[in-house]
Amino acid sequence: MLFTSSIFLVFSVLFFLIYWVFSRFSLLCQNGWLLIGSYIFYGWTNWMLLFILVAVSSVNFLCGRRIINKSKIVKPILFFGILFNVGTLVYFKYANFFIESFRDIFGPSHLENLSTAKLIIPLGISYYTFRNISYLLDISREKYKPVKNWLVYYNYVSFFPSLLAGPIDRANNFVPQLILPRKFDKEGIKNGLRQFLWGLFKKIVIADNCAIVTDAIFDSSNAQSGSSILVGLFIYTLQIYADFSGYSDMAIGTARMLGFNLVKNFNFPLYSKSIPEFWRKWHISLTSWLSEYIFTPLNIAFRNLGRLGIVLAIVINFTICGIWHGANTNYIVFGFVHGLFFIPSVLKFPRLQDFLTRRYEFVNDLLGFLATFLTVMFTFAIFKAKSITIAIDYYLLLFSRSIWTVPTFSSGKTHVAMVLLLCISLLVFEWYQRNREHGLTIHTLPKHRAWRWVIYSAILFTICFLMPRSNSPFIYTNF
Amino acid sequence: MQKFLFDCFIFSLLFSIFYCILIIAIPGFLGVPTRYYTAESSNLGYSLQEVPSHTKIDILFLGSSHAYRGFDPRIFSEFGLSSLNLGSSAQTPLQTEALLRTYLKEIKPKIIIYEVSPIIFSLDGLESSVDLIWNSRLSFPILEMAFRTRSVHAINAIICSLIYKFLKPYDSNKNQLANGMEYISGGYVQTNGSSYIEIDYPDETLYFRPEQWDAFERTILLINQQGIELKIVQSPIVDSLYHARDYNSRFDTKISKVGFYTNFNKHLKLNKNIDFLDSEHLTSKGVQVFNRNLINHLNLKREVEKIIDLRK
Repeated sequence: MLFTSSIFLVFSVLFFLIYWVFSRFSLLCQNGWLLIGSYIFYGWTNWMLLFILVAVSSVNFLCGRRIINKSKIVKPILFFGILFNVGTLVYFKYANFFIESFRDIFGPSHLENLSTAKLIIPLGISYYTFRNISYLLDISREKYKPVKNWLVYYNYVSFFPSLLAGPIDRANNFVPQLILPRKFDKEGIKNGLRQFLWGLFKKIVIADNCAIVTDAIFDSSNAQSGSSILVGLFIYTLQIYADFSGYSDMAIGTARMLGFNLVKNFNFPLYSKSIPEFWRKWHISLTSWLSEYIFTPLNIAFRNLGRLGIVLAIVINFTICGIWHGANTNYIVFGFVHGLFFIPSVLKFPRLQDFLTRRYEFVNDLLGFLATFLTVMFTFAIFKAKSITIAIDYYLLLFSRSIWTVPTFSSGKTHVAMVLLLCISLLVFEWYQRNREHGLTIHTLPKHRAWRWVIYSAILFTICFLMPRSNSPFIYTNF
Repeated sequence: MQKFLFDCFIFSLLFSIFYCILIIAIPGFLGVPTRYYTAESSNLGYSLQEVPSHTKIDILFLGSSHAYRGFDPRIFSEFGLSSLNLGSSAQTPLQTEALLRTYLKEIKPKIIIYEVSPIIFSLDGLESSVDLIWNSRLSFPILEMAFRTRSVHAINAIICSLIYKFLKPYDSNKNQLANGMEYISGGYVQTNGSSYIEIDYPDETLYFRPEQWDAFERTILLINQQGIELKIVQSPIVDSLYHARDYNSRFDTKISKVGFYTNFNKHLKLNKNIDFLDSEHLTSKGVQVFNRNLINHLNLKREVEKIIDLRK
């Protein structure tokens, strides 16, 4: 079930009503209903996937319970737990990729007996696996105590708003919220509704309309000019941002309506002035996870190598970040390239930076913003392309003479103009909101309720009016 | 909580009014998305007007443009067969089902000839839904179809058509058919135009939308329950296009399992230069050849007589 599907509308109304009615009885009722709701949400399209989710939750819960006793078996249990999680992820998500890559490198006759399996990748597996791994590592480091109640732990793993595409919440933030009863808070629910509405707007009006243009451009890239690819990349950057941050807003908004606070996943990253800043603001829950469990241990391991050690740790960290996105060489290259972009920030030149910051602060900021935006935009070509060869074709077109031609679009000039207008409007609107919690915070709305309702109605109407014929699935639910 | 729910209710009510006003005002004001909100150049309005005068007919034709541009009631009447053509542009099984559930009991045909083209199973059916919403009388099956289309635009079309029809009765006679098209009584649309020019067709693959296949099966069940003889046919298309499809035999097998099915691409050889207007539609001459062949091949005259005898 997706947030943008009509069935979710029916599900959410029924679910919320019952949830808040249950809240009057007991915490057990609240958590029990939450788990049932999460499983209905997850198993709606394919109930078989529930078995994997339940199995993974059970193994991790039991491992966690064993880690509590500070016996000699803690390390083997931790090792087993992590191996189980990584193994499940690798099996479902990467097995076919490894077999195919092996054959590509060593020839088709190798691994003859091992045919690529017709595996269904369980939705959200990357997200709940990371949640489980961080839980096991944190309790082994005694950051917090293991969860004793299975209902609480199962809810932590399968909390439906963040199950399919994050945010990847840690147990220390989420579990305490599960062990206390949630109380009906009108203002919190209203804020959640506003954030959900803003996310829905970004997904349906911006991302789905952008998808029509970018699909038309990139699916027939051979027939495109460099200028069309350039416009396509600009729109794709906004599409992927609106798609993923829209999902995160909807997830956080839904959680708020249930009385939970999830971690922020996006902090207006498109206005960053450097690549490190961009990654501090883009998919925050993943980058902070990687920073804590990959980068920091690597940095410690490579500490004798000085700056080279830091560079190595960053590059490995970002390559893993790329691999996390999926079984595709493009993602690996995307992560690796972004890792390389960190090098200037490690080998910084303090005097030059001080000089620029003091003398030309505005110019420095503007240049930083433009350079970061363009860098991110250009690297999204690797992300969008189906293979590295196709990505190279995009770059060849971008640096050909056809970049100076007038772009042509098969999806219609009017539609492209509308999409560009929407993209620019989003950039301008969110620029004004960049210091707020989300795009539709109460502070920016009129004080009088009637005017606020007019604004909500206008947004809802725009969603219904500009909704494309077919909804594109969320890009990040594929990861 | 009660106060919050009350606020939600009031907001929903006000928003519904606001939405209805805007949905009427904005498309007219912008003049842009008429493709979603009004029926354009539709033949269906004309053919549905003929329903009251075409009850207890021998044959009812259903399907997409292959049907309304491919079955000429004048040819069938030459054989003593009365008929009505309710084919419409890009009519998918979802619309066929809604049409039948709304009009079948009124028309009471002896035989239904249902034209199925593989492509109709891969369409979302939005255009055809809008066409039906505007031109048909509003019924529960039509509303159900709009929801099954899973598109907000179909719902918008319902709202628009309801309000427009309430303010001013909708006159489907004002529908303008495309240039070169002429509506013939009985639901056939005759098209005049230049003859077919051969082009290369890329290979096509088949995609069945589950909701369309489900609607198709429900339609067949409905026809069978009414005791009406059903003939499923596939109209002839240009050979080169037909052979660009790698799924013909799979499609034929799948459809044959559901009912009596004839693929006229196998039974009839037409001349692409004379009998085709474009890759999928026939000239008047092509329609003559096809219809006569169909009447003989399916032995329709005999079938109708048999049904009359049985009913006696």
